[in-house]
Amino acid sequence: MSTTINKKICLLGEFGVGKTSLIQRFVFDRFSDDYLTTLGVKITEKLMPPLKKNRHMIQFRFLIWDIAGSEDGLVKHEGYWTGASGALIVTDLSRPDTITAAAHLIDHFLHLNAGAGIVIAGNKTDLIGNPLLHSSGESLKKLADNLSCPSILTSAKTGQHVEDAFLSLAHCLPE
Amino acid sequence: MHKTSGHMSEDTSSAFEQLRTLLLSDDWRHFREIRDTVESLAKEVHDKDQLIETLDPVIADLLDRKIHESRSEMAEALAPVMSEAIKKQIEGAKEDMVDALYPIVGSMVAKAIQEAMRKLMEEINARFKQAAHNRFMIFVKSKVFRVQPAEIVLADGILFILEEIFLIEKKSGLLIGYETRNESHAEEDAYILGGMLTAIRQFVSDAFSTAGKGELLEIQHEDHTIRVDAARYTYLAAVYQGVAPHDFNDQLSRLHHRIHNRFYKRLRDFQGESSEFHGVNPIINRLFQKYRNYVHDNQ
Repeated sequence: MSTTINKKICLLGEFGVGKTSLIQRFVFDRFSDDYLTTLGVKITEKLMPPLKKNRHMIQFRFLIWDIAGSEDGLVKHEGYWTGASGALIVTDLSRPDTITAAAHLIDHFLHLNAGAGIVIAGNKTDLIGNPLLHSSGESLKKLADNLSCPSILTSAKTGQHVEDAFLSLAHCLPE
Repeated sequence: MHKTSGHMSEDTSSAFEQLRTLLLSDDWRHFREIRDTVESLAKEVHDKDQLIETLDPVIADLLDRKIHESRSEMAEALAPVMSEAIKKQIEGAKEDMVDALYPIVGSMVAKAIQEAMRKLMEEINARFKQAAHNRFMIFVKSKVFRVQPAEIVLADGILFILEEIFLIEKKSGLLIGYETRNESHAEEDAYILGGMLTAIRQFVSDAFSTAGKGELLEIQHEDHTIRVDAARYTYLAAVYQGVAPHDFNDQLSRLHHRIHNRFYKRLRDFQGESSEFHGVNPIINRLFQKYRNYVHDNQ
């Protein structure tokens, strides 16, 4: 018998990194994506598989806030970030600037939500042949190592490692 | 010699005086005219009544020209004092203000009343049509409650149906308690709706730059209303259809206060574990019991 714990999770990243495609791979969607352009946020829900934490079986219900990203590296819709237990920070491996922006986003997110769990996703691994993929992957790993948080390479197009990214986040959430 | 020299000096001086008078007489006259004009102007400037008299004919033209040339600058300059001026004017000459505004406000009110009456007539007509099919029940009700049949038809027309109540943690938007009159409503949806309602509240707060000072208290959509009561850690949102009873907001607030008092520590330390709040839903349910089958004015 596991205890269900509800957690607010933010999905953050620059405009066009593939956040919304990533979430569509992971949850059953009920509302239109139009909310993203009007309100700047869309919320979906996912009941995660039970996991063992500190010898207790718990099951997280993720309320995932997909928050519209900016194109200029500035923090937008900051009001939606509060009260979150964790964030999946999404970057685009074909755009190194999105990794630089991710560092800034993480810094600001942790300032608002001290002790929250972070996982960094390097998205668009399906762009095989893109010369930037390798170097971006290394930059991503370096950023994750500096922050002592996991990083994972994903593809919203093929679905590769999308679920793993959220599972990894579930493991590093605070109790 | 000295005497002669003194005479000569006087003669010379007089001659110079005559020469100066001849040469400078026009300048002196100009000087005196200018001095008179300056004195007159100084008098006008220092004498308040005279200054008003001087400026009065041109002030209207000046303002008119200034407004014409730079409308926005004038508006900006006058804006800070306008509301104060209107307030003073209302205090000082209430009747004059009423007379001035009556043509505008009067027609606005008349239009709003006309619209409300039109809607009421539509509602009454629809109710009477429906009532034609339920004549027997209306007759029985009128006998039981000892009121006119028309009153029953009208009272039935004013609906109030409490549909859902959400208790939501303010910062995260996570659902803590939820009750609905419709059992087919999935609780999973309530989690998302609770989050979206929180996002909307945040959006409104950001849009109006209230910086946490203001609260969104009501959202209306056709005949549905979401009424929100906000406390320190949570807000309680009630979704209803129709017109709420006069004491409903007060009841909602009292219910919220009761929950806050009882679960204060758990709400303060909330980490997403809703099993700690099993006692919340039965408390919320009491409000559903209170307003079940509520009919206006027949109670």
